[in-house]
Amino acid sequence: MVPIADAEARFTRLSESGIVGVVVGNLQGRVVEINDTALGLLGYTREEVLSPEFVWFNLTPPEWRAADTRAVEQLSKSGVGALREKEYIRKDGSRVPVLVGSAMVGGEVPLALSFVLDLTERKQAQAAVERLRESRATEARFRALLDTAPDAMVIVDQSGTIALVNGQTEALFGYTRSELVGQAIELLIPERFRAAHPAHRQSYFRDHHVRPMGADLELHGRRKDGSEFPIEVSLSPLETESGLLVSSAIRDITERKKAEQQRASLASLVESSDDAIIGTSLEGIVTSWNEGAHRLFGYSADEILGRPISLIVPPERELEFAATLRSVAAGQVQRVETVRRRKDGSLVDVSLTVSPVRDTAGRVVSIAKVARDVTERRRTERELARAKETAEAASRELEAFSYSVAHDLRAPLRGMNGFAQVLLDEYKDKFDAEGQDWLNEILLNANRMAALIDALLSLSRVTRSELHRESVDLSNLARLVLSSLKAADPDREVVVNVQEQLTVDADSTLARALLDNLLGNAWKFSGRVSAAQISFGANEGDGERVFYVRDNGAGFDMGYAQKLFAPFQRLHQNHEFAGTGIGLATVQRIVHRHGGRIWAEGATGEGATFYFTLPAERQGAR
Amino acid sequence: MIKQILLVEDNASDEKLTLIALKKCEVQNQVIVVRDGAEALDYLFATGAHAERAHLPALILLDLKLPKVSGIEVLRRIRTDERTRALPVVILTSSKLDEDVADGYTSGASAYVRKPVAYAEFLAAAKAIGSFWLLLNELPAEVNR
Repeated sequence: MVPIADAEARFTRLSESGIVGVVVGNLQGRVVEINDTALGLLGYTREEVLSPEFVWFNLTPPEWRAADTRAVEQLSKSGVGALREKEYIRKDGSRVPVLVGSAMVGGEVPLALSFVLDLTERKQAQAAVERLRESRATEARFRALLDTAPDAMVIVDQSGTIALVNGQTEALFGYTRSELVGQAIELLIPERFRAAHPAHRQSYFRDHHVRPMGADLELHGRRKDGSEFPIEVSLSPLETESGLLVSSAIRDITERKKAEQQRASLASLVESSDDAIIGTSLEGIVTSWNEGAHRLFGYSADEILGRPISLIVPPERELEFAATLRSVAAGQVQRVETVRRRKDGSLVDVSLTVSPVRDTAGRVVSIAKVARDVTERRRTERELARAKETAEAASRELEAFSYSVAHDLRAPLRGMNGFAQVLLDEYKDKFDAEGQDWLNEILLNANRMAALIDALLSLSRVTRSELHRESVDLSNLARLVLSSLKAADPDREVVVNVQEQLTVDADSTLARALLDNLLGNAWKFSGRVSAAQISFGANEGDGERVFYVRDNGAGFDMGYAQKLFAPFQRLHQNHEFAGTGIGLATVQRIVHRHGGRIWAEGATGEGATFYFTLPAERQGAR
Repeated sequence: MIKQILLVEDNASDEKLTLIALKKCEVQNQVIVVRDGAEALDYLFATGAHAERAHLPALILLDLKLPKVSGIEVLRRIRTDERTRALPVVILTSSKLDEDVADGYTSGASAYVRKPVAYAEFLAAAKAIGSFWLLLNELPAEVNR
């Protein structure tokens, strides 16, 4: 047993230590003793507590009273009350959490001794733990929420340090979460913009509200690999316990920029087009109208957007217009030449292409029209028709002229020639030698003029006659021409060389006339050399075949090469080599009509070579 | 038998030359000359100034380019009339345009000869025509009745 005095001394020490509140009172609620710790806990003075009016039980809040009553009963029966947590109401009305344990102490008047432990700090610690647990859950939820956002979300604190990022941020910038959190937000900005950024950031913290960042500015993000991409950023403030944060939603707008650029370039194409480019709904309401349409139809975009396109359809074309709309709505592209009405009521010839515009699912959702003013083209067509008519009239006149030449000019010649001949035949003895010579001169000149007229006629026939192309063996033709030359002049010794199998796509009559003339010339102009040689052949080169007719005869001065092919141009006097001066002009026309070229090489006394081409295609034919 | 030649020719020089040539070639037949298409038709169908003509010619030498009625038209009328359709008609002209030759034959010409400018050739042509059509060639019975 501990002596009473010792026990009392220990109790007093405990009671005065300030660790625990001690209260002694009877079971009716009258307090007889209380220590300073308990007074401090409750906010009352000792006098107040010890006064006979003070009822201890009134310190217990109503919800604890029932439990209190049970504890007092237990205490009076067993002498010990179990430890329990409860609250007291302080003098100032606030509550204080406490742990209370009681026991009956002996004496003639039974008293209860209660220890009261202040639980305020422990409760606060518990609440803190609870709050921490809760805030962790919130953060996890928040992070999960961030990850569902379509944009990269980066949360930054006032110092510009990244506090939180979502998965999209990792994907977009190529960093992992751990590489970003704790770093300055400037990591994600191209270097050239980094210096200026903290100032912007700070000004946002001073005046924060939800808004897009850098409106009207081109913003760029920088990936881990240093590459840049255009972004759009929207900022919103985030008030938290640890202070103001800023959440930025960052969107990669590369595709959108590309699409915008495409749209812009398409739009400028449409706008700069000379053609009218018009968009309408399926019902024919104008939805777009370019500058070309303004110029062509007189309506400005403002005047006609939202109005029916039928404004520009003349009444007599309404049925046609409706039919076009129907077939385009059914998915067909329509091309029509038609007439439209301008704002001023005048009509304009247009060529119109109307196409369906489809959505991604292939449904026709609207209609695109391209209209071109063909007034000018129509005018040109009319002019062309007139020109053709004029040309045909000229051609008819030429025909009449040819006829006249053939018929009328020859008749007087025949008279001159005929009567001169009759004089020579019937009245020869009436003329001396000189007179007869002069009569012969009349004959000669009349014959020569007849030859000229014939040559002129054949030249005009070459120009006028239609070209009938067929396969022509020029080698055969050349041999034929040469043998008839030989037959007409059997005394000539000429070495002839004709290359075999030169077949060409040409008009056979004209090809014959061509070789008649060229080989005839070669024959004629080699007439005065002792060992005459004539060759016909072809060289291949540059994808074309070049034919040639060569002789070793009189040749010509290259200075006159250009004059060779002009009608009536002769490089030899008639007494040297007879001729009309029409042959080479005829040859040139034949070659040109076949779309070919002709040229000549030669030197005086050293022969001549005539080159020509006869392309197979009809492209050169007229 | 009187075989007459009808020469349809508007050019006086050509007329003279033709007559000289025929004479020179010893073509003895009588040559009747008419100077335009209308007169040729009058003679052939015995109308107008020629209502009194006795015989149809045995040979017609026909120029194409004639005053009033063209040679081709004269030829067509000859070929569409019972009385004259069998007559030999030789076109004797300056033209040798392909179209004229084709027109001549499709309208029923018996022959087409272009008058040569050179007189020697002209003579040869006249001789050939005369000997072929008047001596060698057999004529249908109704002609010269």
